[in-house]
Amino acid sequence: MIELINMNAGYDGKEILHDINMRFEPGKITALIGPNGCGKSTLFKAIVRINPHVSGRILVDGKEITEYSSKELAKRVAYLPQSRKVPDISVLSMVLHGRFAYLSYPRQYRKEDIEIARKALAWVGLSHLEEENVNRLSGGMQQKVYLAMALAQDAETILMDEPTTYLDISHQLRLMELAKKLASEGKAVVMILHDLPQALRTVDWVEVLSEGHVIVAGTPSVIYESGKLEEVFGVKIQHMDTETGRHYVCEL
Amino acid sequence: MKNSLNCSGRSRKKTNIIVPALAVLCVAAILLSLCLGSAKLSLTDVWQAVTEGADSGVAGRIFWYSRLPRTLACVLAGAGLAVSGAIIQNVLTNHLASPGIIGVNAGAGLAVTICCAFGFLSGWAIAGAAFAGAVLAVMLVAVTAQKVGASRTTVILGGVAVNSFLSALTEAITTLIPEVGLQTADFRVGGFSAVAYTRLIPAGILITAALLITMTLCNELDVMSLGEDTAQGLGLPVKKMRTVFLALAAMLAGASVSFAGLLGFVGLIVPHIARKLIGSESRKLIPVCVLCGAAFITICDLTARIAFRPYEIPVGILLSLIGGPFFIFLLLRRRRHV
Repeated sequence: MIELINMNAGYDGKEILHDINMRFEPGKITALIGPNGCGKSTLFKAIVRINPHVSGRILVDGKEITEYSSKELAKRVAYLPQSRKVPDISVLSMVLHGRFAYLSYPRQYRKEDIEIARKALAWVGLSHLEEENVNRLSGGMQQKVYLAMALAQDAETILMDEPTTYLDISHQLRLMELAKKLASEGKAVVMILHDLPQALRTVDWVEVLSEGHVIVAGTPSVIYESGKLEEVFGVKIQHMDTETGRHYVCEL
Repeated sequence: MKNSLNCSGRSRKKTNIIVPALAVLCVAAILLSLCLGSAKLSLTDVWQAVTEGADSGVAGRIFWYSRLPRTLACVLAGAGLAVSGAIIQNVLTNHLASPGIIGVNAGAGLAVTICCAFGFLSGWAIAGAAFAGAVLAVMLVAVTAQKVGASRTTVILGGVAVNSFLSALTEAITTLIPEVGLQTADFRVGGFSAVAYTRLIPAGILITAALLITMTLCNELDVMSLGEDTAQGLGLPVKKMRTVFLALAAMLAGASVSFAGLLGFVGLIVPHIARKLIGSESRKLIPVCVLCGAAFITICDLTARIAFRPYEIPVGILLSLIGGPFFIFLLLRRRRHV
């Protein structure tokens, strides 16, 4: 479990996030939403120590993140960044990079690592493509390969920065289903999302950020009732209750 | 289960064909380089020289004092510069980067020129200075790129600026101290005609050590090539490893430059050819770069030596003639992909 306590973070000496208090619990999907530049990605980067936090505390399983080595932290927190490079390697080799934190002497991936990588590929439904070059896959497939790589890390918490960007609607929905499946298996899933209706419909908990502060946090219905989304984004949000659950619609 | 299971059966078969084929090419190039030149040696002459030493007559002396150091120099410089290029391209995640283009060679060249100006001419002094100059140049480019959050293209442009600045300093020294200019004339063009064991041995030790260390860090290099954010998320201490890799690249390029001079484009061309042949996985790419680099430089040197007999053009000129158009080709291909 990850806890942020009075955390301030930023980069290049500039403080972007102020006094952040959050908790990402196993079995739950949390969405971070907010306008561009409000510090959502900075928050993830502070947790994985790309841009170390300035003050406050970040606890992973009750221990300060600074007490973990890079590899030990990667065994507990997997991170899918927003911008991703697409290497010229096979899908299985790519997913095996997810086992990097477990690599020890003689510096070769073990049979167990290969099995875990194959399981992760099966989990995202890409077993049949393990020999294919990542370069030759569609954007949606590449996204799934990255997700499989994160799954191969076998971490309790998975941070995904805008995982649905560039995906068509079908792949977006499939990815959200995968997130639900992960949470049902006890993982803490944290996603930065821009699609408000999708976020409100899918996740268990929402943190709304604006200008580096948490404006409101709660379950999707609490967030909807608070009216803060209209205030932050300047849009109207309505809901419809149907047989398949509550759906949300945004309009200007 | 071996790590080779990472790759598919198809890819394994490809590796099993390409690596031995390149090894054969490399051995053939080495044998030709040992035999051909202004005086031809037969394979029997070479064998006799190997078994009987330098005292076995004219052929023995040619072999031990000219052909062998020259061929070893080609192999070491080819492997060193090619692997240095592959590392730099991975770490800067830019396939247009190479030690020649971003100023690493120029940094080593400046340091060697300064060394000559102060009269420090021992093999270890030259190799050490070349390494220090290369480290300085590569760190300058990497730190600037990191500080300003430079795009992949800006990194190259920054490197070109560093290259140009360091080359200008070298030119200034050689103009102001004409003796240094004369001493380093061959060096600035790049070539193997005057290579001697005194410079080759220290550089060879550095290159071999750096290649062995790089081979043990192939997984780190692959993870690094996924970009800083992904690599950090996978558990790689990115800042520390970037410094380690750039130091290794500088060691390889600097040591190569210390005896071969300013050979351009090897670090650009060879990694591209190697990637085309074997893909991007470092565990395969690095050995293929070693073989390709060694074969490529040896063949280029052989061509420069015998194509215009009785004259010999410095191999650096030949490499620039090949490398310039190759770089333009890469730029055009990149533009098409964009």
